Amino acid sequence: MMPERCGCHRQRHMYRHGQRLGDLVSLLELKNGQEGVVVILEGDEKVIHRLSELGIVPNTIIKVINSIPFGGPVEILVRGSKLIIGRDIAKGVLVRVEECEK
Amino acid sequence: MSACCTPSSTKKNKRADFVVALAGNANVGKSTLFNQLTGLHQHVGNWPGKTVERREGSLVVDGYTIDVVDLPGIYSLSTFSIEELISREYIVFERPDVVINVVDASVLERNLYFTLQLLELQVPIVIALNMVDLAGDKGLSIDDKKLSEELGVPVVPTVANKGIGVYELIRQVINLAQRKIKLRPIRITYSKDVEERLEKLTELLKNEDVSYPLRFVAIKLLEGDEDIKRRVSKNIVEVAEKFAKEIKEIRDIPAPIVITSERYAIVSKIIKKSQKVLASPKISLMEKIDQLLTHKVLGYLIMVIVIFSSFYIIFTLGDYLSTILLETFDLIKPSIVAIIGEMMWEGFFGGFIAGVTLLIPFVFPFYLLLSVLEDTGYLPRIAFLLDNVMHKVGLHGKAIIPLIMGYGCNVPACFACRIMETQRERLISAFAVTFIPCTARLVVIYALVGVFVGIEWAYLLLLINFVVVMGMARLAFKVCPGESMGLIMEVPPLRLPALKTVLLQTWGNIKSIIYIVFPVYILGGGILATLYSFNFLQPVESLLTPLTVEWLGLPSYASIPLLFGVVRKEMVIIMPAIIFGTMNFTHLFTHIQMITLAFVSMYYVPCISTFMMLKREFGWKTAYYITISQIAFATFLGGLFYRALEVLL
Repeated sequence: MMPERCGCHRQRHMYRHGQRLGDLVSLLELKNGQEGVVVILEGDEKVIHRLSELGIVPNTIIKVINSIPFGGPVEILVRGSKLIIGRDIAKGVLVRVEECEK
Repeated sequence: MSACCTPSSTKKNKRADFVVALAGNANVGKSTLFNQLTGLHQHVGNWPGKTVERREGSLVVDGYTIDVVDLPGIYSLSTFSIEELISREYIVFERPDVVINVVDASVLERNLYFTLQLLELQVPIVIALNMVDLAGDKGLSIDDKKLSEELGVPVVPTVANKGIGVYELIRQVINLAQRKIKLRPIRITYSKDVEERLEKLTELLKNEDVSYPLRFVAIKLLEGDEDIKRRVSKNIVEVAEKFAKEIKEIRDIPAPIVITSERYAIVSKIIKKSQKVLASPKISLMEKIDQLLTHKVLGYLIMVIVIFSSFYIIFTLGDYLSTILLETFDLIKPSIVAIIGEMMWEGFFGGFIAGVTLLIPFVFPFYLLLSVLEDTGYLPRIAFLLDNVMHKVGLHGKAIIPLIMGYGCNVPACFACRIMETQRERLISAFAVTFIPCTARLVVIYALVGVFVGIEWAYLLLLINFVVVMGMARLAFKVCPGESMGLIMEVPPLRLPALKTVLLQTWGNIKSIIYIVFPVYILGGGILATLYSFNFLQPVESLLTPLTVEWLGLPSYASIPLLFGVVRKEMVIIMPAIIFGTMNFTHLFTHIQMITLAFVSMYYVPCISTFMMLKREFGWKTAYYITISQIAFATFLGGLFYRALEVLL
């Protein structure tokens, strides 16, 4: 796993209904081993409903454990189980980076 | 192959005292528990959604006869997949006396999410807190009494694969079925915004005729469940949609997500009270191997090695076994011929011997390897690695699982396409599966091309096939309308294959071939040899001459084997072996004809069993379309392929 320093990820400022929600990044922008807390789920309603049923709901901690480059999926640890999620879907899972692993 | 897919089920015992259903997430050991309970040897695979059809068995405990139904592994009672709908409808309409909710103690949170929905469905449940040993390894300690108190239902810790806790579980089931214990299930209360609307909806639903509990219907309506929407009147659907919109406005999150989030919040509270984290999980050896298997460079290298060596093992081991069996038959032939005569030997045993010496040697190593790959949990890792490749043809990683199964037999592979989320994805994968050469076709390739032309040609045909499968999936993706969902899949922990499971699974897959197919070979072979010797098949051959001889460059007698191949694909070589009484095909075909025949038989038509499965899953029309496109593809490309070979060789 790659060592990761805080603040080195690309950040994005999110505003929604005029309210600043903090610095959010998509799951894809997390490095392997990095954790984030889910803030917003974007995408097709059916898809995010499915994600939520597998435990990916706002305020859930997600840890990225593996990813495949060139449009491949990401592997995440959520609520004690491992899930693989396609890139297009992972793009819509917006998280706040909580802590960085050394 | 047709025969390997009859689901092992026992007839429902009419005199059963109770009916018990097993429900829970995928990979929680439901099938293992089912085997423990019923002693019925049944397929236990290590990938999500393995049990695609419910299986039944029965047991007798303390004088009670209990029917057990194993429901598919699911994550929710919504209607995202066919399996979720099947399970929900079974529980509501068939009304089992007790539902055993099997939960994985090491992933308790997500499992209890499903438990909450079962409680919302208001069914009597007993929880089998399974894999408590695994949870211990993960440093988790679960207080089952506390959990039982919190949920208001009995909780029995079990380790299904060792049989621990199974008797106690059944005792609780009997107690519950006899109403000796009373359930006090917790009331699952949502936030005020949701509850107010649920109450109003429940009130409106009072005059509706729905078999489901009204509160469950109200919740599902807010979740936007399509199946439930069809069951209630239109004005109620409109109200529900309005309510859902209001919730979205208030909470800034779509209503279904509000509901799932709140369910998870309830689960988290329960977990906090009943589960303790004693130690942080150590990175086990299996974790490290897993990291290698899914590594972005090494993972692919290992995968290629695994796939190539699998084919190598199947062909080499198959060849070895085939030779041994053939020599054995040659050895015993004189003594049997002395008793029954040469004519009988050729006629009735020709098909049998060809089957034994060709089919079994290849089918056996294939299913052995597939069982190992399934049992270790390697298949979901392949799905992870190949997701982006599959995206190029309009599918996603999960589709690789039915495709790999297709190399064994297309029939269960088409059925396994149910693990795909949308109808469109199911159809595209099933279409692609029918182009995958099953063991029967691999045998044809081997016996014609591998033995007489050269094994490198056999591998070349397989390589071409891979391109064809991808191209066909791409084509179907372009033609077929509908929506795609993308990859969302659970990855079960990697584990060492259990010898017993692997052997049982392999036997389960090949036993039907031995029981059903061989009698057919003997009988069919005898009849066919007779027909042929009286020239009854001549008209058929002449009729097909323009196609077989003119366009495909095959000898005219190739049409009969091809016709019989519709029943079972290996007939393509077993028929000539019976008719001409030889397995030395050099007398019958030139090298080019062998390659062409193998190529054509790989694609020309789905076998009857595959066709019936396609019909069952997608309807007559789709089954016909797939069949027609295969015939067209094989005929057209077969002719071109033959001409290309003429130039090249």
